[in-house]
Amino acid sequence: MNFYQEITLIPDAEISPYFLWSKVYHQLHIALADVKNKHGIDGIGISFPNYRFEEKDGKTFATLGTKLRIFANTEDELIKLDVNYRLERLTDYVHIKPIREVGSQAKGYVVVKRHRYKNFDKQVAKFAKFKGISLEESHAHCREHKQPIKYYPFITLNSETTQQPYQLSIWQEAVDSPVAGKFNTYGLNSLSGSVTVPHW
Amino acid sequence: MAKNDLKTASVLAFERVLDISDAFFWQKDSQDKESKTSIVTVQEKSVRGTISNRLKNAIANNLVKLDPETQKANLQKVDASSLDESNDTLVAKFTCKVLPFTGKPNVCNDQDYQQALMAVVQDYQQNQGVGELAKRYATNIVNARWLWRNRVGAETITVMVSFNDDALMFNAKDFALNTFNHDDKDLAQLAKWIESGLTGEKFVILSVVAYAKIGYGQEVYPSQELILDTGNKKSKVLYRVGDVSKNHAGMHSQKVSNAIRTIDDWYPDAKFPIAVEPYGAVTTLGVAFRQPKQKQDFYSLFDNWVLKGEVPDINQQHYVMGVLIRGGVFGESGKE
Repeated sequence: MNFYQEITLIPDAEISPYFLWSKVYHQLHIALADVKNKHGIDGIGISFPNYRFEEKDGKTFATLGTKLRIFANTEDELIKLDVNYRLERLTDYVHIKPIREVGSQAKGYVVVKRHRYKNFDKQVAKFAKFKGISLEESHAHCREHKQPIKYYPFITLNSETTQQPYQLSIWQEAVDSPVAGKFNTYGLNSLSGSVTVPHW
Repeated sequence: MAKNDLKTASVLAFERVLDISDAFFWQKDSQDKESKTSIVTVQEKSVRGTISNRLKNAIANNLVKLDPETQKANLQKVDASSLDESNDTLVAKFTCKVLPFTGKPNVCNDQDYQQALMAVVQDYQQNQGVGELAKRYATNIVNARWLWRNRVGAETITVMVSFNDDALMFNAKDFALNTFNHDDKDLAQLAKWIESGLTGEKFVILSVVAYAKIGYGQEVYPSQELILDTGNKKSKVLYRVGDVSKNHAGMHSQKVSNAIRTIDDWYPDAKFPIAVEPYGAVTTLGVAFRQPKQKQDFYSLFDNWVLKGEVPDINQQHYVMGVLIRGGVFGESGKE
């Protein structure tokens, strides 16, 4: 992850950042799918430098912030992605910095995942079946060890095929050491992935 | 009468100087020369959503109860509006009447005060002129800021402004939203028209049409109606202009005029222009950018200027005049 490009949403009194995120991410998703299909590029990762997710006193504080970084291993991959062209129609609403080297500014690493909520009851049932135990026992176990529902910040996207809106929940966490690998066409890890991008 | 005996009139109100109509939404196909413009309608749809609001604490901490709660379908009736599949262009129209700006209040119960006030406005007209304000209003007409969310992501937007028999064409995307110093011949012409309306030289009524190419069948964003009684009716109601039974989508005149007067980038530490408001309030952000304690709000500037003769700097003069052009009730009685 040596090169990156930074996108900042321009503040606007009337147009909410999440409306803009939805428009921006829609284009990025298409662009990432495009470079994957055309050039087989699948090492482009995305992070949100101002991401915050905190749970305190039963309250959740979740925000994506208004910045996004796109990381790639080579400059050529970002040139092929051509974010400027992809976001051309959003010029008054996003500020795009030129492609730069990450260099020594990175202070650490983050893993960014798409979080998909698994229905808790189904998890309980599945685990009960798997272990051959009663639902109550399974329920007790799952409350201990399985992920309860969390309200991560999300971007609402519209499916091109079904026209249905769906949520892209983002889960971003700092980790100690870098892991190389591939990303999906959202520029994210799936729930089990652990590929990192630099963070500062 | 000496200056220091002057008091703000207890009854003081200004009519708005820019009279702006509702915006009506129409649609057409840019690829087909023969295509007729037809209205964009608001449709009601019933959707089966999911529960996605934050749960009450008691529920959120109780895992057994939580799940049935989050599994419940969230049935809603909402309004939505989009272009037909055969059309890719949103056509939005409104008219703007420019009345003469003399500084004469609509209602004022103190003659001495009124004289002082008129003197201040005349002084501004002579020394600064309304050219700067006119240019900014013109910019907001041609950059299509007034399309609000419909502007985001549009491929091209053409704005046509006509006055009497003259018409000007603009490419809205050439005029960035965050600056007012575009150098453009046609824009200067439009600013001239607005200026001649403000000075009372001519009677000016502009008709404005924007053609925004947003894509076949894409969603458009009319104004949303505020729902005051939360019964079990629709959770989202969009604005229907004119005859309600026609379901003609459109935008409130307030929404359009808010965009046209988004010219205030003179507030402290300005990062982007905001609509001209007495306290620089932007309700969507929950912020007032001109706090009374900084003495940069309309009332501080205005009172010092009219009552004490302390002339603010040029930018703040523009701002104060912008508020008078916006209109409102500025008397002393309600503020005690």
